Amino acid sequence: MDPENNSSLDTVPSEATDAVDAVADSQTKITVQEPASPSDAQPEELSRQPGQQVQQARTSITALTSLFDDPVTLKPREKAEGDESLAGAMLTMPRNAKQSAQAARAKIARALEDADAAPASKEAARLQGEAATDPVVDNSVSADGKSDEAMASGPRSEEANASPDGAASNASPSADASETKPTLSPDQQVRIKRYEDHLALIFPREQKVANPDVTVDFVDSELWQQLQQRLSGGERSWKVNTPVHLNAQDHLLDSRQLQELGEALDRYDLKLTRVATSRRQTAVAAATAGFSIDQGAELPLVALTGEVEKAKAPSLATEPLYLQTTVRSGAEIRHPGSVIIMGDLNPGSSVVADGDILVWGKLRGVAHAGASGNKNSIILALKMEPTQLRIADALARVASAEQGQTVPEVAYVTAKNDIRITEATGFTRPYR
Amino acid sequence: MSRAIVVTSGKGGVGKTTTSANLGMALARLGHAVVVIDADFGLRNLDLLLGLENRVVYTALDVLAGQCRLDQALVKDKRQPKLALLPAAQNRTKESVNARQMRQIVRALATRYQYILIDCPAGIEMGFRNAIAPATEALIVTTPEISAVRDADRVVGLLEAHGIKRINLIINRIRPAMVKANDMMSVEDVKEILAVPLIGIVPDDEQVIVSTNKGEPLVLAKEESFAGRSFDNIAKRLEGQQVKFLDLDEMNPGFFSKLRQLFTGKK
Repeated sequence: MDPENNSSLDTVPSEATDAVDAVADSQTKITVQEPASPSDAQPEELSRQPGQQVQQARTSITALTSLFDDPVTLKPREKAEGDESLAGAMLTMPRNAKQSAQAARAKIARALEDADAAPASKEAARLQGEAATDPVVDNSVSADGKSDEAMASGPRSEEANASPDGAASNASPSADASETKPTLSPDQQVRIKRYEDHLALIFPREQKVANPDVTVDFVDSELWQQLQQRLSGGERSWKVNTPVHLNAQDHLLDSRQLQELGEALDRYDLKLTRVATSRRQTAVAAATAGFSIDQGAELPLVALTGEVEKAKAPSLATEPLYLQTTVRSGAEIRHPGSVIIMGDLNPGSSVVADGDILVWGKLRGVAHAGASGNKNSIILALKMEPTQLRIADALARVASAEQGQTVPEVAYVTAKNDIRITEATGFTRPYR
Repeated sequence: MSRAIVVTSGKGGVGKTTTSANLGMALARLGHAVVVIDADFGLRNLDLLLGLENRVVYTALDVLAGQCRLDQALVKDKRQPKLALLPAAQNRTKESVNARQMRQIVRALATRYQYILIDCPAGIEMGFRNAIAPATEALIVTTPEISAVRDADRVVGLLEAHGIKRINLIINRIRPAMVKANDMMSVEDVKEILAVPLIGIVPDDEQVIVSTNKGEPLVLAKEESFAGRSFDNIAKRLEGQQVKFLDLDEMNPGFFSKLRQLFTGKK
């Protein structure tokens, strides 16, 4: 990424601006999340600049239409799986915002947000004076316990919380930020790892369930669904009759469940041959069912678990997850490396990856690249219509209803921690 | 070789039961031995739509409890002897059966019936899991609404995870005029999201309400309706026939063509 190009929101390539005008003319609704600067180097200058632009945008648009009620809101967000609490203010432009300057900016940075928890809390005090954190906004934050819902119902809550001031306000309740500490681990799902002569099927560690009294059939469990998804999505990537070594970790499996598992693998021409487990009962069941067992040993997975623990290691080192499937509503894919999806990402689904996310299809769900903090991660899709984009700790909400735009696009994080979306063609060139 | 097909949707009120009743009847009229199973324990409706409520003596639960034979619980339709209904119990809940028992029932029926249609309850909980357990293929019913489509998408994912790969889509209650005016999702929009082969489009038709209240499936009605014809066509497509989709524009004839119909008495 070229920092020269990205350092200012105004340095927009002219052809991009043209494209933007076209988009704006087609009555696009564009959502912008206003950042406060994450950069400690020149925080004031950076935070003022977007603020001014917002003011401009607001005034000019208000002149144009009465529909616009300068909705700037404070929007803290803590997700169970998020290892950061994002906080920022949002500005919604109405569909008929035809101001080329603002539109250009909005297009290039369709959505921006500062989400760096630490700088945000540091800056909170400074912004108190500067950005009119009026009581309305503060109340809305405290009343807004379900911040995720506020997120989903963006425009509505924005209007409700509209502050009379158009400037960005960012008073992240830093307490919240520290409470929701990183629970995000893209490794909490079933993984299939390829070795020379076999596949390793690795179960995630048994997780605490919200309601331990409810027993779910093995074939109805989330684990099973993840397994099926990985198997059907990766069907072409292994040879017929490849032996499978299962690492069941601390999962308790009885012989019937192992049998079901074996049958499921069989349908994909895979042979379960070996089971590693840390549970005695599982080992006994596996032995009875005729598999070779490694009890206590974490089998080929010692390396893998370590890999995840030092999550700072470059995520690209992990084998990418390749899935040829439609990711449907309710499905969630987590992977500690890059994720490649041949198919659509439907609304209601999400992909969380430590590396990049490449969607050879339509991206309509939630995509979170660089989930463990890698800001260099990108999200690429043939058709970018996401519910939400996240890269590292930046977040962007992209409004739908963008018709007629079918160029592949790529989302990346700029030096200012904004998410930008640009045409994918030529993105990887060293010069632009 | 019998086919166990579950009719499911995720969302309620999109027409699963109507579809089950009409498809069952249409398939039976094509000469197949058909049984429709009401898997909506506790909220059974299928018997009402088929007009067989007053003939229900035993239910699937009585069979499982060993209180009667399977034959005794099956309600044969007088109008169409090739169609039978296995009613659900109304006084129990969905937890009163399990997936294994459902498989057991279907296995027993498979020896005698070519088509086993399972009317699935709404939701994705126990009742849903029971209903899909014995199925080898599925019919997804959805309406052109974003919530119904979203739920259908989720259900397709669950079906796939359960190893049901043969999934076909029925788009119900479409209103061609509204689609034209861009006020409703089009068939293409729905197809694009769900990425499942389309097997039928059923227009929104007032006759459906009439037939539901009468307990007489549309496909039996003397007056031919668009919805009834759509169900007939779906049955033929299920058989493997190639049938063109109905031209729904015909459904809203202009004023003049209505007038003409009135004068010529032609339909």
